[in-house]
Amino acid sequence: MQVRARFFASYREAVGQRKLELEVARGTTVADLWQRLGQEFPRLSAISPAAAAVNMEYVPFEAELRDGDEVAFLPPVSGG
Amino acid sequence: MFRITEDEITAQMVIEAVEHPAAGAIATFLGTVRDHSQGKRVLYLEYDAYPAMAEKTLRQIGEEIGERWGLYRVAIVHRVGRLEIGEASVAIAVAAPHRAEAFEACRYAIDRLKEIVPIWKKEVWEGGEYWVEGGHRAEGE
Repeated sequence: MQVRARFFASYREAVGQRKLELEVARGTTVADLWQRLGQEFPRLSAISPAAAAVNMEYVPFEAELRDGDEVAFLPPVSGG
Repeated sequence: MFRITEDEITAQMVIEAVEHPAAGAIATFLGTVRDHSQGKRVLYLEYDAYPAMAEKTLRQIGEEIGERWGLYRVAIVHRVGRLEIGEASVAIAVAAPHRAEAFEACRYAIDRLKEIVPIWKKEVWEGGEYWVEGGHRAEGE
């Protein structure tokens, strides 16, 4: 199935891209996806992500992805 | 009004968004770019955001204020992109029947924004830059 991953701030710089379209196996969790991305983008593997959102809702890392999901990896926020 | 924008923001725009005949007070908060951080001279800031989710969580803060304090009007606008020293990064206005609740709810809005809204700030100095992450700093490129 197809998902879109989005990266922001320091994670975006580590990946070098804002968005990636990825083919993943059924049953893939948010944590699984991060681990796979760490193999492709070595600078990510040193980071343990602060939070993740699927379709703009904060989710736990064990959350399973569904076809068409947009998963965002979020550094600790620092707005204001 | 709950918005992420690349354009200049002012207190006036959020005040106008909350004005209401039942309001006896409008409290405002303006966050501005400071020229120093941790003893270093900051040249400018760069803000990144997940705009759609940021606007959604800003709306959520407005709803939380409604649930907690009752009849209120709230507007929050956050700017992204490159901001120069002294420019406003965030503007908040809360209209309420009385001043005490207006101040409280306005304070709540900026505190919650710093907890849950997906926006990130990069500080750029002479010869270096850092993404601020929560209370800490991550080494930039």
